[in-house]
Amino acid sequence: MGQLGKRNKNGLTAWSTGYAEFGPQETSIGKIMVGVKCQIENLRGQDVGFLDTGAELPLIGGELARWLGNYPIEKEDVKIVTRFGELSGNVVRMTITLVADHGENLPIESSVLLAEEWDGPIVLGYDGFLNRLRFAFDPGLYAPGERIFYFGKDANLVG
Amino acid sequence: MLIPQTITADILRKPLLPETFWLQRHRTPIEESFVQIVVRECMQKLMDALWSSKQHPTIQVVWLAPQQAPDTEAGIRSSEVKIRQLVETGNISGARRELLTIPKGTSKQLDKWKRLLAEPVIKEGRPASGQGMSLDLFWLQNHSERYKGQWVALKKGQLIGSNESRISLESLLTADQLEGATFLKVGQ
Repeated sequence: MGQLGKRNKNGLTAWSTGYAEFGPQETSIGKIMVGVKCQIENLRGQDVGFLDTGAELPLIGGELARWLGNYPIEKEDVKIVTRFGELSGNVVRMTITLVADHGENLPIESSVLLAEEWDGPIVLGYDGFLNRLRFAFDPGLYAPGERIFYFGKDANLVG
Repeated sequence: MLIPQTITADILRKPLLPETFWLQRHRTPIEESFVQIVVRECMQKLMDALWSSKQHPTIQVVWLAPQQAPDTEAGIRSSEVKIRQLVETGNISGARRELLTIPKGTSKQLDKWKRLLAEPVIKEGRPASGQGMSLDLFWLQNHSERYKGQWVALKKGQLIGSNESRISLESLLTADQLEGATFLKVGQ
């Protein structure tokens, strides 16, 4: 396996900058099909985030939300209506890094909802997070160990 | 060198996307009502094509809705309420669009929303630190009964540690153990 490329008249250019295995996982909200590894802010360990193109903001719940919320960072209290119901929490700015198995990890600073009462997995939403990336999936139909999430950045969007 | 001319539909179709991106990133600090945009690779290619076909390159004139500060306390308050309502109904993109029409410095609260809801910023990449996922998921399939409701730290399908608390588990592990470790909550 290697990075995805894009063929144009000048030859082949890299399209993705990193890729990693993704997988399903049982969670408190049921089975999530696209779990990808991510690293939250300055935590050393990696967590698994639910890649949800139907969600707007990234969402972090439970103990992690409480712990991250204790940081002296700018935040705003909100009560957001989600398809899982109303959630009370704080909107903050935070860096979530997509973890690659090969290539480069991709850190993204974005708006994040910290909602302690959310018992589900970390949610990586589309409009406030994924919509700035290139991403693609290889479902690994005949080789479950080769379910691959490719991601990359447009050089013009790097902050 | 650049001569304004009528932009045909064919010309408009292709290069619009880069301009849209450009606007998203630069609209806020721009005070002018008119902006001439002839930047980015895609537009340059279009201009090259136009030159080679002996047509004049085009200045694309884009109208930006002028930012207008609410001029009364009630107006400011109304904008703050509107942004909150948009956020709380999950319409983050709507809140972002609304904030673009409000100049910086209108109120502390609105400036705070501008900072909190700014578009995501992709930072420079760092070397990959992941170690795959299938071995960890295989471990979960075989051991989930025993660790139900707990957080487990796994590395290449090996259990590094477990705890009821995600944060405590991280603090119990050494830097070496944490390198590449994945934390998973075992489903109840």
